[in-house]
Amino acid sequence: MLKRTPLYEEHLKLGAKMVDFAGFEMPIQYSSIINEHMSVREKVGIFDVSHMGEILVKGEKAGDFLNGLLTNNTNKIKEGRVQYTIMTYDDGGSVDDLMIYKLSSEEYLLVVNAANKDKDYEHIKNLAPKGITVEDVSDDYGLIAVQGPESLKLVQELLGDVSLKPFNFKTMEYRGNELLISRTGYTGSDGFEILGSPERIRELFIKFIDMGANPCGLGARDTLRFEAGLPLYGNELGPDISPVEAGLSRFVDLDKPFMGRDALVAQIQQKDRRRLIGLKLLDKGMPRQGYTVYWEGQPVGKVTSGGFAPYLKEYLAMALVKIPSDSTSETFEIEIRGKRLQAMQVPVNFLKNKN
Amino acid sequence: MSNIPGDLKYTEEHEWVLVEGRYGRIGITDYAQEELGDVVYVELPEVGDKIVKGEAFGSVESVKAASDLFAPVSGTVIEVNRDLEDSPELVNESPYDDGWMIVVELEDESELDELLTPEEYEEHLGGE
Repeated sequence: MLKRTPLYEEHLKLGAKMVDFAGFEMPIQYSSIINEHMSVREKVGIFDVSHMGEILVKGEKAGDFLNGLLTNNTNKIKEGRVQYTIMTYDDGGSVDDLMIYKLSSEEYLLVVNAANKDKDYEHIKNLAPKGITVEDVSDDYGLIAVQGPESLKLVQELLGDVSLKPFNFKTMEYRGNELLISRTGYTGSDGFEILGSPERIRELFIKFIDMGANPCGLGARDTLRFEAGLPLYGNELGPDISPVEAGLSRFVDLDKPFMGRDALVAQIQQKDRRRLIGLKLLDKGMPRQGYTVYWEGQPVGKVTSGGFAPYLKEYLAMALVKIPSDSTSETFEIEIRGKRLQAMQVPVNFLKNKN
Repeated sequence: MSNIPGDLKYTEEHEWVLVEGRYGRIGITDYAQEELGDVVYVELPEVGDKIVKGEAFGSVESVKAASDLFAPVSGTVIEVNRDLEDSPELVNESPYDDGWMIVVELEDESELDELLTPEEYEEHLGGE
C-alpha cells in the first residue's frame, strides 16, 4: 500500500499526474515539467516534499554523537542554522545526504531522503549511546518548498518577516501551531522550505497556490536540481559512491573523527580515483543515467544524471569517471543510443557558471 | 481526450501519415506527445535516406523518456522538418501541423491499407 502525503487530495484537484516514488503516491507533474521548471527560475513555484523523512535526535551529547556520524562539522552549526551534510559508512560509502537543523544544543532535526528514511533511522539508532534518543517523527510533519526569485515576496506576504539568510531558519506560530521556516531548497534558485503540522502545511500549500505559486512536481524538482549541479542520492551518491568521489569534499571535515573518515582520507590521496565531472554535449542528444562515457577512445565511466537543462537550454550530464588526475584533455564522448557524441568537460555547478 | 483528425492514417505505435498523392507526411499523434511530455530532442533521418515500414527511422526524447519512431510506410525521405532541431517543443504544441517530422515518397502505396483508420486508432487508444 502506497503512502500519501497530507497534500494528496490537493494534487488530484490540481490534475497532477501521480507516480509511485519511494513508497509514496507523488505528483510527477501538473502542467509540464519545462513550464514548472521555468516558473521556479523566473517567478515562483511550490513543491510538496512531505515524503521526506524527519528524524529527531535529542540528548545532552546529541551534537557530539552526530558529529561522529556525519561528514560535515556538527559543532560548527550555530543555533538557528541548517547544514548540508553526508552520513557515511566505515568504507566511505554514503548512507544518505541530509539537512540538519540545530533546534537547540541538545536537539537536532534531520531531514532525510524518503527512500532512505528507515535505513537512516536504524543506522543512527543502532549507534546511539545511552542518553541519546532517536525518533522517527516523519508522520508529524508536512513539508513544502516555495522556490524562485519571487518566493521571498510571497512567503513574506503570508507569514510576515522571513528575511533569513541562506541556510538559516526560524520558528513561528501560525494558527496555533509551530512552523519551521528555512531559507533552503533543492533547485538552485532562492527559496524557502516550510515544515509544520500536516494540516497547517496543507492550508499553506493551498494559499500559496491561490497567491500565484505554480505547483511543481517531482519531474521539475529533478530537472532543477540537475541544472543546478546538485547531487541526488541514488545517482551521484550511494553506498558505493562516497562524498569525496561525488565532489562534495567541501562538506567533509577531515579535521574531526567520524565514521568513514579514514576511507575518505585514503580516497583523497589516491590520484586515479573516480571523480564526478560535468559534461556539456557539443552535439545534440540526450545523455541519460547509465550511458557510457569515453575518454581517449576508452570507456572511463558512466553518466549519473543527464538530460536537457531547460533554463540553460543545453544538453548536460554529470558523470563518474576514472581518468588520470594530471590529464589536460577535456574532451569526452558519451554513447547515446548507439552513437558516440562529443562532450566537453565543464564545472558541475552548471547554473552558476552561466550567471 | 486526444485529438484524432479524420483525414489521417495511424499506427499502433502512435505515428500518423497524411497521404499527399505519392507522398506521405509523417508525425506522432496528440496522444503520443501527451504521454511523452515535453519533447526536448528529435532525431530524424536525412533527405535521401530510405525508411522501412515497421523499423525505427528516428527517435524522440522527452524529459522523461526516449522513444523510437517507427516507420508507418516504406519510402525515401524527401523532406525533413528542420524546425524541430531548434524547436522540438513544436511536437507538443502542434503534433499534426508544425510538429510534422518527415515526408517520404511512398514505395508501395498498398502499405497504406494496412494502417489504422481514425476510428480504429481511437479504438486502439481505448485499450491502452
